Amino acid sequence: MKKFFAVLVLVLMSLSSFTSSIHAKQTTAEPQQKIDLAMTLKFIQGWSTRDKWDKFPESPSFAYYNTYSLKALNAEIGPELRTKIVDALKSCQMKDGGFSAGPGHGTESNTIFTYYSLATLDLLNALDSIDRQQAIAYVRSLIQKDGSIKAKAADAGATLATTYYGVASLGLLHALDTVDRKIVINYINTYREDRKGYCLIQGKISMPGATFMAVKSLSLLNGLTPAVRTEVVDYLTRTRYSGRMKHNTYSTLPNMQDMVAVIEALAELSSLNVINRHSVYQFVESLYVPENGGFGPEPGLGTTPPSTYYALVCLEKIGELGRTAGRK
Amino acid sequence: MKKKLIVFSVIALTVVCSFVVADAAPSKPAKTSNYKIMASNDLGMHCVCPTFDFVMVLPPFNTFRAQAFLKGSEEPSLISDTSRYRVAYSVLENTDSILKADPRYQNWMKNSPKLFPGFNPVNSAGKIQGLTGATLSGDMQLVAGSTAWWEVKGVPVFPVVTGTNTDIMIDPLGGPNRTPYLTGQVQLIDKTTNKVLATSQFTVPVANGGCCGCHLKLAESYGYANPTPLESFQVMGKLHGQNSSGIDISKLDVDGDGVPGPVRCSWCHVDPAMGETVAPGVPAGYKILPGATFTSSQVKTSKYTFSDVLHRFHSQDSVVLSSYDPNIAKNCYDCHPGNGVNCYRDTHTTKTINGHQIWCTDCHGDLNYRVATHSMDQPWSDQTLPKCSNCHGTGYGEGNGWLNLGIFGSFLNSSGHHDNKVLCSTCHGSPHGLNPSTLAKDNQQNINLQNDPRAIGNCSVCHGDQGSTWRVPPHSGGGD
Repeated sequence: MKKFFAVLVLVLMSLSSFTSSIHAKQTTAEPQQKIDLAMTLKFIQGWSTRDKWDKFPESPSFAYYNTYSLKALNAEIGPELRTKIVDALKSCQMKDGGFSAGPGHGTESNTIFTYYSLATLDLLNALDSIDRQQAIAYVRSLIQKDGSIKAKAADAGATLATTYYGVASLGLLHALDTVDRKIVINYINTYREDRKGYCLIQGKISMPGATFMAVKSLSLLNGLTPAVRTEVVDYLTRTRYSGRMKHNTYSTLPNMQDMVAVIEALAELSSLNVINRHSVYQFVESLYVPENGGFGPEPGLGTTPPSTYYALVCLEKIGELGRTAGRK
Repeated sequence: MKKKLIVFSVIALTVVCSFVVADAAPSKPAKTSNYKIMASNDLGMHCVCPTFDFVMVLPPFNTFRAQAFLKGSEEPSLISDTSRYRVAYSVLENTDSILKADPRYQNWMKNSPKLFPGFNPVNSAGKIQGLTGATLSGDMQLVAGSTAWWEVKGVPVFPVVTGTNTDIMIDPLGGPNRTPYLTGQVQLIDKTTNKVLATSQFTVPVANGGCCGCHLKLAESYGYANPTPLESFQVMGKLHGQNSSGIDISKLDVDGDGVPGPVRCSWCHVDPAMGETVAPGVPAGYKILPGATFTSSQVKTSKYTFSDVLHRFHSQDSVVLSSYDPNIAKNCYDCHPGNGVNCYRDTHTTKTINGHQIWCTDCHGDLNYRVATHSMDQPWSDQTLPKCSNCHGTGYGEGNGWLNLGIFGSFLNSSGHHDNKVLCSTCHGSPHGLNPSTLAKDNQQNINLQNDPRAIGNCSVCHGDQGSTWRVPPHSGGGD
């Protein structure tokens, strides 16, 4: 009789432990290192093989994201791919010297597309393959009396953002000496929020993207003063993207683009030490999509090449790119 | 005593074992019947606005299609005899009581008569109805032409909070997550006996897009630290006033309450998705709020379609490109349902072309391409929507048995197989959720029918004299 009880208890215990182990596997699995950069590279390389309807590079910005990402991941950019990108971007240069939205798409130049074309060619050491003087003339033609730079000729006016793309383009063309730096700096500073960062709209509130564009432009124009540096770093530290703000509530979701803006602005100000790198890493990791190795732009969204590029910039700036690669 | 112990131990073992089995075993297909019914949603996703107080892009409007067959000893017959059969539909997560208690849906009920003058969101029987009069459950209508199918247009479904793990849609207005992939149910019923002959469940997709989320951020940059939908609308209206129309839409008070809106985009920009071929214009009786810099003589309908102005503006405007997203031409989920939903989920997401994954723009073209080719002058048209044959070649039934719907692409307008009797969507499912989909719910119908998530390819589902091995069936319309 005792034996019977013993056997019964053993059988029940073993079955119970079996069911428990099933549940344990389902609910309390060990957290795993999510980011697999080999998959990320595959995603980026795959995108560059598009050749049917949506041919790579579909636009200057996609050329830039792909080229930057490949270089960041230490992947080779073979001569065939390099030629494909350079030829496509050359075909985007319009008669006025600016660049259009994509090969065969649109006939209107724009400083945004011009910037991404130049930045890509710069990464490929191929800036001499285009008409640089024409490109300089194009951007200069968009400079307004107040120092702002329009995005395109047809626009009624300019903004901080369009001015950033103009300044950055001239910077890549080593042509910033052809503009009146002081007046451009003054214009950019009209977007300043007192003792904070920079606004996208004059007189409104500081935004990460606007602050990055202002900081980068001012840095290129040698217009960053010590006071601006201090106050902007303080503002950036107080954003949720520094990884130091834990308890604030927001009505909008955090996104990768703003994260990069904060990190790049702080890097430009040599102040990356203010961020909580672990929190930044966790945020980037949370947007990793294991199915394809890319990253999404914000919680809940699937992979895109731009957000994957942004993620790689984040990882690179916080010194995690090599470490992540090694963790695979 | 010994007997009691044995009985107890048997019961205990049975309970534990059944727990183990239930936990590990996959669900089995439903019991087979000679009657078959397959249903799908028409688009694979329908966007709907989360709030209608100020502006409406798209209303609750979902369309279901079903085909029913009687499996014969050899050839099946397509069921289209309305004197003998009816097809009933319902949406499990969307009942009258659930939606009437949902504050987001109450918002639609409050505003929809203003957005669609003459429309009442509740019918004379007290039931919720959509713009076509379709209720949340009822009978589908037979559509007979080159083939026959059962359809209900304009079911006013809405994403809901279920408190389960299907609540995956992130609410753009900051509320709890909601379920975007609802469960539709269709039943083939014998009218004489009221006996249910066949039942099937399918995905009813409905989700909020990214518009509100992005425009709240836009309002932030205009100085609103924690913007409300009203503030977001006022910024949008101001920017709309800077375009060629000069109309700040947030200065339009439609219901005379002194508060902006609600405004329907398709009043001025014709949208075939509303079932309209001409923009109706802003309904008479609206007021222009103080501060407006335009007069009522300027409030006119536009020659541009809604699809055209919406896509072209966002992909070409210098402020959008420079300040918010330089890649919006390719970032479809900026506007279309991403937010945890990621509505493009079908078999194509797992396929590659020359080693690269297939993205929306591989089929549709990106916005730069679409603007350059003026394809959005003809939105929702088979002339501008993707064709399966672009990749798969001809011979797959596309263009056969043309349904002549006057809207949608060739996939939804075609039928093939067996004298062109079978709609493409009957076997393949909804566009963007084509089988085998990465969303398990999309596959359940086919698994139940043939124990395989792929498109229907098991001949024995309908043919009594065929084998049960999955294969690609003849697609062309002959008597195959």
